[in-house]
Amino acid sequence: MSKYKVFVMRHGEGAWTKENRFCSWVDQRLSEDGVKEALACGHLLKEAGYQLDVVFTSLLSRSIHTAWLLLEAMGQEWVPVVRTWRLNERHYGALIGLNRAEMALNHGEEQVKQWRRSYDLTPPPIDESHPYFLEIYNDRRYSTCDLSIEFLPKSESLKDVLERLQPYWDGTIVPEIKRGKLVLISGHGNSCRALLKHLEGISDADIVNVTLPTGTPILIELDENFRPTKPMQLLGDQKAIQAAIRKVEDQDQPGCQTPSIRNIKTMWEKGNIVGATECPKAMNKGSNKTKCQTQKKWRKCSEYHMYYYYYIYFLFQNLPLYQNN
Amino acid sequence: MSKYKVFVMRHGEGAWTKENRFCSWVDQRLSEDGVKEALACGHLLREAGYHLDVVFTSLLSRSIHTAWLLLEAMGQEWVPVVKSWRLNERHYGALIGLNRAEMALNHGEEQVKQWRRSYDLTPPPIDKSHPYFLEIYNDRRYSTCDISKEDLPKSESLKDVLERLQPYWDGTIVPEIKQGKSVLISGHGNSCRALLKHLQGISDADIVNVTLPTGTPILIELDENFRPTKPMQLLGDQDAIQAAIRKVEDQGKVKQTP
Repeated sequence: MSKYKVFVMRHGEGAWTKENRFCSWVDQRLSEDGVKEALACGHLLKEAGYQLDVVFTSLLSRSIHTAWLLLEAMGQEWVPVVRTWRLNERHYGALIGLNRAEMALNHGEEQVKQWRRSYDLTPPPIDESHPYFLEIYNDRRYSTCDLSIEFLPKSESLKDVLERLQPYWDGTIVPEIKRGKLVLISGHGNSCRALLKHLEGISDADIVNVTLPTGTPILIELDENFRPTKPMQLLGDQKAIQAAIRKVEDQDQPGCQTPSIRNIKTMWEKGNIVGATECPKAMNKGSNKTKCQTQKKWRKCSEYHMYYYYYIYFLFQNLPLYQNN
Repeated sequence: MSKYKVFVMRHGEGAWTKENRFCSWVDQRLSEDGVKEALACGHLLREAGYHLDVVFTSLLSRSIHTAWLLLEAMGQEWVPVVKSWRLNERHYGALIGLNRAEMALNHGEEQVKQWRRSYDLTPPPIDKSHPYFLEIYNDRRYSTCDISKEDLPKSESLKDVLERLQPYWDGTIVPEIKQGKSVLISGHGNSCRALLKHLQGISDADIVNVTLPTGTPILIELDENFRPTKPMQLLGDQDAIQAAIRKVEDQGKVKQTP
């Protein structure tokens, strides 16, 4: 029985998303699509009848604008919006602002894969020679934090993100939830992942493979001990969500591995999969094909086949569907 | 010598402004012009090099949107925005939603001016028969206030506005200013007037004649005892400001038919 509900949401597309650059602590704005995504979230939550009591954001304007647009769409602008650096996107250190080609050139593709893929590997720190160093650290907002500016991170692993986020969750957000407030967290890709890892108990190995779609409210239901009572739910049109996930993943151009079709069928028959659409192609195939040969081929699979795999991916973190590059 | 600076600002044009209706606690949005005014304020403050530390607004969306747009124009969205019913526009009671010009025709321009500009004349209270009663009092935001909903006003004079605003000024806003924070209050015509009356020591008789232009930041400089060190300054192009003041004053007048 769920005692508490929390919404977590990754802001929509930013200006650098299309360029495939690590935005991180650079204060890029939402793109036009990102604005539409935020408004669409607000309409979705409004139609579902949700009434927010407090919204938490990071100090980055794309997170704040997402919250404002969402509240505007819900007609709930009066709801308090609380901002903290502890919900900021993961600090990517020296990799900030670089695109994939630049990163591979500077550090080698394998090394970059490690930094992105691991839970606790930290990229090299940003330093004063970095083109975005002053833009970040001269910004007055970082003199208003609960840590003095010298102690703010210069680079983070996902583990570091959770370490600086968790005290805020425990000390500031949880008390609001305990008072019966309906909370929404307007966060970033990695700050949301870190929080979800903590709430859902996702392992260090599996979190690497969790990808959150942009602009999709994620509903988490918790018991009185703040343990999830069910898998997290991505709200909205499920096909659109899968397309959004694919869009995020396309940025990384992952290779893919799929679990055996026989295993999936077993889980399906046991009723352990909630909400997956039975895919005739997967069920009847009968072959022991366990790997898609190439991403291109995978993309040619039927829509239901893709949807099916992705849904499992979210519900069973022990079954990584693919490895991030 | 000024120890403290505070910005006070009346939000820009709302949807009902053109219709000359008392908007009050009805949650009308900013009009397109109101949006432009708010952004222009932000650019003005940015060019002047001001850094804000906290912004206070009412619970009404036009006040909040003004703050948001201003902060966006300044590139300071991260600045905390704190919302309170105590900065709401004056509650116009049964006059809410009525057209000013029609009222002036029915009651006379002078009576309307008195209702709008007197210090302690309270309009008749709003009641359940009023078309906007439920829209206001069923709104969830009024269950989140620091007093219970039954105790919220049903009509207010300017004096009533100051009475419910002043504890918030003293208890919440002043401590921020004393900590050296640069504060901006995104308010409404009458909630700003009430505050300025208090800060500038304007008499009950004189406040009648004070009109604030929309979308114009007003800079107040105070000494350590929170007394003004100079008259309040309306920032921006002075001709445009005078035109804006006249525009507000014209709203109370009866239209002259040719």
